Amino acid sequence: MNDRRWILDRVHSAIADVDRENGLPDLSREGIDGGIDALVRRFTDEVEAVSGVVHHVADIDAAARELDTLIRSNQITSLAVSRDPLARAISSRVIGQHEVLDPEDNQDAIAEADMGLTGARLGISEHGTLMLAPEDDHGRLAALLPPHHVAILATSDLVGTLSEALARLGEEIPPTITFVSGPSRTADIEQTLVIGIHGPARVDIILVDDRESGTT
Amino acid sequence: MSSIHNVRSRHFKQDIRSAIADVELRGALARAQEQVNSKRSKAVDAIAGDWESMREKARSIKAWTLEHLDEQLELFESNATRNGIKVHWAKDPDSACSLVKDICSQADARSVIKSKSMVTEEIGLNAVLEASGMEVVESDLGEWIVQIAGETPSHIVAPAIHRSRKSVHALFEKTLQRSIPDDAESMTMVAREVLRKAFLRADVGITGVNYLIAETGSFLVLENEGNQRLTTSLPRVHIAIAGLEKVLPRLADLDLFLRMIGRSGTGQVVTTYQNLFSGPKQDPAEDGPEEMHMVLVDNGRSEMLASERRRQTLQCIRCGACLNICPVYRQIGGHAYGSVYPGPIGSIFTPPVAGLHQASQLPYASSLCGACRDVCPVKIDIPAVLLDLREEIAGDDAQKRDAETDLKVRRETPAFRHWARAMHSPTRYRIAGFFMRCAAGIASRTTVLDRFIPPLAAWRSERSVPRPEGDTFRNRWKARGRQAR
Repeated sequence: MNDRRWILDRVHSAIADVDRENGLPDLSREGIDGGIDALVRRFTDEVEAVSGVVHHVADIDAAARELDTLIRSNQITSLAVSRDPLARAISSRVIGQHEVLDPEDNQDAIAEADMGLTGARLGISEHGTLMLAPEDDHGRLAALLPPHHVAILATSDLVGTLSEALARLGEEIPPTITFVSGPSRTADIEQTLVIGIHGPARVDIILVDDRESGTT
Repeated sequence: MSSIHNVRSRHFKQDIRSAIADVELRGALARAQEQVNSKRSKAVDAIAGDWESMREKARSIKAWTLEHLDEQLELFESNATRNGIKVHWAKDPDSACSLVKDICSQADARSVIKSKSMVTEEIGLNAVLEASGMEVVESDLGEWIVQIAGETPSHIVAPAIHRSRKSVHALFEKTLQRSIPDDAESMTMVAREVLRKAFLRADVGITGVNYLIAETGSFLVLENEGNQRLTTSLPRVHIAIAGLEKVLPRLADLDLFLRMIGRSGTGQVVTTYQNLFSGPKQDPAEDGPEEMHMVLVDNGRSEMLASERRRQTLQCIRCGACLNICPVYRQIGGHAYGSVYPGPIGSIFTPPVAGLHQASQLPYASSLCGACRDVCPVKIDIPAVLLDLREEIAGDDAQKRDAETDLKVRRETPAFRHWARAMHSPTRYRIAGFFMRCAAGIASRTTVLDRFIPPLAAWRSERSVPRPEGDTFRNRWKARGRQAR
């Protein structure tokens, strides 16, 4: 407490003579024009630019088929699934040989899983970003510990920019929000890019079209 | 007392010599600088139409915040406290380290995992925690490399930039006592495997902070590897440490700053992960930390804030662009600066924090070319601050400089006094010019004379004396005037 007073007094006197009138600049800017189609296109391009993959599918059945393909082609033996209802609904339609782990399973088991399946709060098209809120059942560990992360996102949850995403949060900010743009990466050894270090090495996003007049 | 851990900038002159003689270092630096600068240019050029106005906005937000820092810090504190974050204040490194040590002890921590944080390097946190018996593991790959090598980071963004792949490989094999393939990917995978165990056994996770958001009592930390997500997901306690200057007033300001910092730092459009924390977990059944602490560190910052000319130093968002563009950094790397903050930003941050007498050579480690100012995303006029520091260092108080700088000042002061006198009137200037031309004419023609006159000899050992050619500028200008008439 002592340090608090000491610091605040000094900060206060350091700027006591400053003229404090000038305001903060307005940061509002254009979003992405062209409706959902433009958002989907930009999102797909940007995710690919950061070494992720977007699978745009027409409905939940198609999403389940896509997940099934990912599980088979990558020979997944254990899948950690978050509490997210959409992720669980899709996972339950996939019948395979793999073991399914729940968030209640212990941390070590989730760490050993080959793939983690989660939902996502929003997708941000401008930078190909997923917005995860672990406390909203987006699976803090399922999205992080396994080497392969698959996220389910609805097209209605795409926004243009980070500003729009933050505005959608409103007053209720979850304790943790993670913005994810592609798989984890490092270039700490001689500037050589290596994809996949502590976080997932692969990120697949199954983008489920939930427009009422669907593209099917 | 403000200070910087293990500062050895008084040995700058000697350390430059060994850095320049280090062939591995210079190869690594040239490669790294070229790569990151070309990526940065590409990323910035892609939004070239907006970049300058973005810089101006970023500068004005940072400047505004510093001018309102007392209110903004108190606002952050009250909002963060309401979110369940325990906010602590530390005036200096001793206070900050003992605060963190106490939090760790209360949590019965035996093992601490850290993600990259420059302020913890500044205050020397690892040494304090280790001295009280805790295991401290750095989890960012570059930081881990320098930790197992027993070094300090040589760059604020890329800590191991000074090392070649071969030297990292040798270090890994020696430390881990096993044979490892020598490609970057295999070595990275080995690091993942070793560090994963450290994450799983850690009791406390420590991170730095990129932005404190006053409006919401949140804070945001950037990374690419996922080590910080692990640091803040697995251990029971999360301690974040931030310099006072990290505040942004509004959550919406992130939209601007996040589009700038990745481009400036590594040439990425955005970093892979951006983690926004607004409190510990609410539901015991969830994963994540039960306790979240924020330690706000002053360590000389409030004093810097009081100086109108130096205040802008605190606008820094630690992107490292000024290091990457600096022709001096390129030749000598980070370690020679003798501070955890090297390069142009280090040369204006280190002296006021560590004490001018500890780092008086650093403000001279620049040709004032201004490249750092031109790339700075928040428009810090680094050359202007360097000059301000030089003015104080060269002043009447010899306590504000080290022996090396004192010698330099005592040699240069009479020369500049004469120069000032000569510049005082056109007549004096003409007379002084005449004598200087004669002197330069003689010195450039002889190989003997200037080698034995002490101040000239030192200068001459690395340069040749220019020979004045043709008529003087003043005469030519006069002649031109006559012609025009």
